[in-house]
Amino acid sequence: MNLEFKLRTISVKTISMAIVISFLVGGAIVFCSGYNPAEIYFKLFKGALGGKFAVASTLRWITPLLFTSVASAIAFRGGMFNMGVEGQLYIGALAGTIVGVTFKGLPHLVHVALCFTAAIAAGMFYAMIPALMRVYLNASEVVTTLMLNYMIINFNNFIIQEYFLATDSMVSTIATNELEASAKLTSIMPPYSVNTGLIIGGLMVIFFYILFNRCQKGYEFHISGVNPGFARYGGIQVDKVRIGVMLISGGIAGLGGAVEIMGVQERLMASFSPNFGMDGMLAALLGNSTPLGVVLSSVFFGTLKAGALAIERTTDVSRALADVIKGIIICFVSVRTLGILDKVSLKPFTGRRIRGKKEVNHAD
Amino acid sequence: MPINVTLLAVVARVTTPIVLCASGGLYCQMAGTPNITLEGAMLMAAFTGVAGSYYTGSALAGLLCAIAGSMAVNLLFGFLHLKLGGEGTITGFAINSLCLGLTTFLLRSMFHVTGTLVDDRITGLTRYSVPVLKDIPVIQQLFTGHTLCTYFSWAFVILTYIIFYKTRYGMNVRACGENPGAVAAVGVSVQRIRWSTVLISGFMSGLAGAQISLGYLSMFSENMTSGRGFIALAAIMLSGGRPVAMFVAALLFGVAEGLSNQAQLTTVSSHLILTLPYLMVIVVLLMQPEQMRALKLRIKQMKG
Repeated sequence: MNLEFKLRTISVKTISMAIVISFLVGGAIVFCSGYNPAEIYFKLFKGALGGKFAVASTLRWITPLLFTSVASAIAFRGGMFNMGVEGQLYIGALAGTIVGVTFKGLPHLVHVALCFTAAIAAGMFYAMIPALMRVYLNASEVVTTLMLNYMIINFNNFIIQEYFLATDSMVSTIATNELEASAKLTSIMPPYSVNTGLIIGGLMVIFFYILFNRCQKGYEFHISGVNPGFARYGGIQVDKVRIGVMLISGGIAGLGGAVEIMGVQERLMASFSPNFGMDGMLAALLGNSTPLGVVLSSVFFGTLKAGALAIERTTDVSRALADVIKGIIICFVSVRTLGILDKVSLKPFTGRRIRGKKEVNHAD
Repeated sequence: MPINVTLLAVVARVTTPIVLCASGGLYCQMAGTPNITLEGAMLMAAFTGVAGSYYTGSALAGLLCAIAGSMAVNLLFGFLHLKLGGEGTITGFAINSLCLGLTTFLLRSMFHVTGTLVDDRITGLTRYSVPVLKDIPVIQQLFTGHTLCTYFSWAFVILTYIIFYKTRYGMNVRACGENPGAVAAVGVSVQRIRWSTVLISGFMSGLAGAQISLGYLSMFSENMTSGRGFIALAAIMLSGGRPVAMFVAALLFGVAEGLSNQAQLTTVSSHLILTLPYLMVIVVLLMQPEQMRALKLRIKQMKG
C-alpha cells in the first residue's frame, strides 16, 4: 500500500493569498500570546533585511535551503515523495566532515573537492536504499525515508561519539573536532559566514533548470512523475527514473549537508540541522517544484528564518513563529481552490457569482 | 544482553500510543482518506494535555484538553482535505510541520521555556491495576500500574474489529475506501463517513498524545513524539486494514522500542540502540508476504 500524492501547479494568486492568510493567522497567534503583531513583524523583517548583518544572516539561511529544496523538488518532479532529504543531508555532512577532519595538508581546492565527493556519494547511497525498496519491494518511500531520517540522526551521534569525538575545546557535547582549515569554504562577505556554498547552491538551481528544461532525461523524469502509466507506454523505464531521481536528490542533499558544515558550522554536532530537510520540502512545494519557484521560496523561507532568529534574540517570541507561518502557508497552498476568496475577488469583474465547484471527493 | 523481567510492562507502556494512534488512523485509511497528521495531532495533544493539566491540576482535564487539541488538528485536516479538496499527503505534512512549530512556539510563549517543560503542577494520569489478573505471575505486568489509556487501547482494537466487520457503519467505512461511488449510489454520504473517521482519528490521537506526555513522564519536550505517528502509519499500512494485524504490527514496534529502552542499560552505544525501533519498522515493512510475492514476480520477469 502506498501513499499517493500528486503535484499540483499552484497559481500565483493562491500562493499570495496563502501567504497573506498565514501572516494574519500568525499575527493572531502572536497577539493571543500577548505581543503586538505589527511590532513583531516589523522586527522580523528588520532582522532579516535591515542592515549588512541582517542580510548576511538571511543569505546564510538561504544557502542550505537552496540545496534541500532543489533536492526535494527533483524527487517530487520524478514522482518520488522523498521525505528523506533531512537524512541525506545528515549523512552528507557526516561524510564531508570525516574527510574534512581526517586528511591533513591537502591543497584547499583538492580537499574541498574530496569532501564534496564524499558527501555526494554518501547522500546518493543513502537515497538509494529507499529507492530500491520502493522499486523492488513496493515499500512506501514516505515511510522508509522518514524512518531512515530518525535512524541517521542517532547513527550520526554514534559515529561522532565513538570515532570522532572532539579532543579540542568542545568536549562536553557530542561534536567532532573543527575541520582542517583547507576544508573550510571561503566567506564571500567577510566577516560573516555567507560563503561560496551560496554560489554552489545557485549552481544546483541552474543544474535543476537545465536538467528539466533542456535535457531529454529531464523530460523523461517529468513524464514519469506526472503520468507513470503514459511514461511506461512511451518506453520510459519508470523504475530506473525513480532510482535516478532519488540518487540525484540524495546527492544534492548530501552536498548541502557538507556545505553547511564546511561553510558555517565548521564542526559536526549532534542534531546540527534545524530541520533543513523539512523546510526544503515545504519550499519545493510552495515553489511548484520549478527552478524559479524554488529560488523564490528558499529566499522567502530564509528571510523568515533569519527574521525569526532576530526576534528570538530581541523579544520573548520563539523562532518557531517562522515554522508556524510556513506550515499555514503550505496548508493553504495545498488546497485545490480557496473557494471563498475566488468568489469574493471575481464578483466585481464578471458581474455574476462564480460558484466554487462543489467537489464530491470520492472520485479517486 | 540481560533481558529484564519488566520487559512486558515496558512493552505494554510504549505500545499504547502506537496502538491508540494507529487504530484511529485505521478508520481513515479504510475510508480512503489516509491520515498522515497522526504525528502532528499526537504532538499537539501531548502539548495541550500538559497545558491543561498544568493549569487545572487535574489529570482528567489534561486528558480532555489533549483530546480537544488533537481534534482541532484533525478538524483542520478535514477542513483542508475534505472540504477544500487539498492533497492529502501534502496537507498532512504541512499540518505536521505546523504542529511542530506551534507547540514549540506556545511552549515558549505560555511557559517561557525552550526545550523541555517539567513542573510539579503537571499531574500525570492515574494508574490502575486490574483486580484479579494483577496477582498472576508474568502476565501481571500487563495488568499492573498502567493508565486507563493502555487498557482502553486493547479494548478498542477488539471494538474496531467488531465495528468493521459486524456493523453497518463499519461496512460503510470500508466501502468508502474501496468503492466510494457505490456508497454514494446507495445514498450514504461519503463525505460524512470520512468526516466521522477523521474525528475518530482525532479522538484516538488525543488519547495517544496524553499517554505520551501524561502517562508516565508528566512532561513535555519539543518534538517528543519523535516519529511515533509515522510508526503508527507504518503499522496501518502493514495491516492491510485488519485491526488485529495492525495490533500485532504495533506490538512488534513496541517490542523493538521496549528492547531498546532496556538495552540502553548495557554497554552497547545507546545511540545505536535508539535506531532499533525505526529499523524494525523498515524491516517489517519489507517482510510483508505480498511484497515478497511481488519481488519473486519481478525476479521471474527479469529471468524470462
